[in-house]
Amino acid sequence: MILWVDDDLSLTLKSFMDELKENGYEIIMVTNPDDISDKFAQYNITGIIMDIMLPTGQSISNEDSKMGILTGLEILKKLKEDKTTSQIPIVIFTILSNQDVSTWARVNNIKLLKKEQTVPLDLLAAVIETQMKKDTND
Amino acid sequence: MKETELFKKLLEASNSSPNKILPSLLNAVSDVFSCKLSSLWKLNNLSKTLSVYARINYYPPPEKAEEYVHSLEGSLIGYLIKQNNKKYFDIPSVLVEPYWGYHKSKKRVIDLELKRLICIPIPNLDNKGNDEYDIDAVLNIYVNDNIAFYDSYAEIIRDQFSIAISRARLFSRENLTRDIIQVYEQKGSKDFSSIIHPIINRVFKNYLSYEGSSFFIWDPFFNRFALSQTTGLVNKPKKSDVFYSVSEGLTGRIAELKKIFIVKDLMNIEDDNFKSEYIHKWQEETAHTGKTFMGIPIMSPSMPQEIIGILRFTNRLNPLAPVIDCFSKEDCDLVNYACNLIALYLEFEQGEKKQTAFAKQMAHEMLAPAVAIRGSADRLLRKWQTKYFTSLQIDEYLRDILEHVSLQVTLTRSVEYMKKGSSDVSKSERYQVNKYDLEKDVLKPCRKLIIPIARNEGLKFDNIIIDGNYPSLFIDNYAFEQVFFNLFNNAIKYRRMGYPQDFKVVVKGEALGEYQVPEDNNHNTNPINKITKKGYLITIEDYGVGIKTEEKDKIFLFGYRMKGIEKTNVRGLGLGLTIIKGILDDFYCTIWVDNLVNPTRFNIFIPETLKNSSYILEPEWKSR
Repeated sequence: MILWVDDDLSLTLKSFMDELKENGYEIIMVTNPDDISDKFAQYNITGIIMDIMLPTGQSISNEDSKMGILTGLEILKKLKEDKTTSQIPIVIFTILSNQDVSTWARVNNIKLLKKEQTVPLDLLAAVIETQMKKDTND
Repeated sequence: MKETELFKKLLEASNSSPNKILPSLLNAVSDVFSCKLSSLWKLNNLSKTLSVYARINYYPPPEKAEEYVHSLEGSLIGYLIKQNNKKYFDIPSVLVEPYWGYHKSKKRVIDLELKRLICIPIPNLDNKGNDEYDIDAVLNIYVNDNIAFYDSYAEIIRDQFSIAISRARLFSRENLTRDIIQVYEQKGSKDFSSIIHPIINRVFKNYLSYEGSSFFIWDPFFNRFALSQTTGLVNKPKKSDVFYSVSEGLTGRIAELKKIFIVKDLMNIEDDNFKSEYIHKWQEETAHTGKTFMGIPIMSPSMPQEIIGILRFTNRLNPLAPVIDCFSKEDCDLVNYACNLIALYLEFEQGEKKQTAFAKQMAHEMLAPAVAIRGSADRLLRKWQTKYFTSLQIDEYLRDILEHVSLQVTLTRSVEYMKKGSSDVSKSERYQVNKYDLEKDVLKPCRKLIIPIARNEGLKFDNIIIDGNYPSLFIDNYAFEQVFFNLFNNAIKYRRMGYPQDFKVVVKGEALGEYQVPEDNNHNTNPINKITKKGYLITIEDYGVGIKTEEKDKIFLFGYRMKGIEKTNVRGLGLGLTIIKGILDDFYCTIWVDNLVNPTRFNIFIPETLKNSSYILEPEWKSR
């Protein structure tokens, strides 16, 4: 199961989700970081697609996320620090990126895709490249 | 002969540099009258204290604080200046009563064998008549018994000193301004805070001695005053941890009241407005315990009611020794004068930052539908001929594209209206007015525009109910569409999260009639002054999170976002209601919040004037 954290809900991302689903990937979406831990408890998450500009919820501080502009980056840092989630493949899929995000992605060897430059096939390619698993034990 | 000598020497002295004028003048007087001791005391009308600003032939250690600063009440000078209309006092002996009783430094008088005192009050040429005493300073000279001293001498001294002090004040302002400009010119590409550091650590200190200072800048994203620069804070906290909300502590109280605050003892505040708020959350690191304080709100040059920063100082020092002195009105005027310049720089920089943030957010908002369109088009191109792609799916994708294109057009228009509101063009250039049916040509198309947003959020757009009577009006349909689009969009954004079934917006149009409309158009709930106006009333109700009482007056401000909204929604710039207000103001309409929550109700009053087109012929519509 791929966990997709994005506040652009299904309609804007429909074509991308359809592409992944058509190729055998299952997706669970969350829009708020507060819901992420529940999804890890409920599903076997084998890949993460992460937007960067997101609501902060209660779990990410305004200061660290610069009022939500870098929420996704803060979530990723937490996931990388946690031994149980640190090895899960990640694709950053965001509209606007900044130097902090691209540097962090490069240092941590994480794929970064800019939504405005991406078509559904590109996202599929990134998901395959990072070896996100299709088969789940849900 | 002595008059000429005195005048000549004082004139020469008054040509000294601003920070040396007072000692030079004192030197001149001391020379002419062979003074045993001479001192110039400045009177602080706020703290009712006297501070020595120049002294010759006596240099007590700082431990003798009273020799530098003391209370006016109970002092010899305090006693003398209460004697009305005396231009100067020639006291043959300070050793006799009542003078001796008032003298603050009896030991000094005895040690230095002082006896005859000539005391000359110096009038304040810049006083606007607000102070209890119109005296700027007092010159005390101890002279020998055999020295002749006439009225004419006192007059020359008084005139020369008062002119020189006034000039020094003027020069200080000019030089301080020049120094700040110089710092700004040297800042290069560094941010605004980089100019504040030398200003509070060096530049101000050339004109005003103090132990600590901090500069706070209004942070619109966090709704608080964040530390920009400081001379140093106790415990050296992390800069990002140092901030004040409005009304929090003394600094927040200054922001709330938008009032300059000066106090001579932080632990004994007498002003009721600040009394219970004496505790500093963050204190400047000072050599002495924090005692005297001056806080100055920095107001926006373009919006004089808006506060953009706070500059505060702790522990003023006497210019002659490291002794705690009190901040004066003169200090405040000097800093405030410089703050006007700082405010201009700050606003310019904040304007640039706002523009950058606006461009970034707008790019994000407008790219989102583009991403959807591109993704859908890409899949359509690749898949439409395959057997797996049904006509239903094709239909769905095409509809998706159409809706996102409409959304993008609306977003693009909002940029245009944002610019229109601030541009220097006439309304006739800004708007294209024609006859439109408010329901058919504005509200219904607008509801259609909101479909992709509502669907994206999993909401039923048919929960936007349009009810009642709507007139045909001479308006710009796109501008009014923008008004309702922003209101609907806000209703979605500020809905109760997790309760999609609760999402409902009801728009109701009332027939032509007489309605109570806020007179001052200040958008408050329950405005005090309402007047009866003839026209149409549109109410827009939603059942979302509502508006907090403390935020009701801010929601129409440029860039204001509801506190805590970032927890559930990071989109938006806080411009929606500003755009709405701008458009409605242009069309002589009034918008106000009629109810804060359950439902949140906005009322829009449309004057009867819009029923026909004659208003667009008026000069007001055509003029820039």
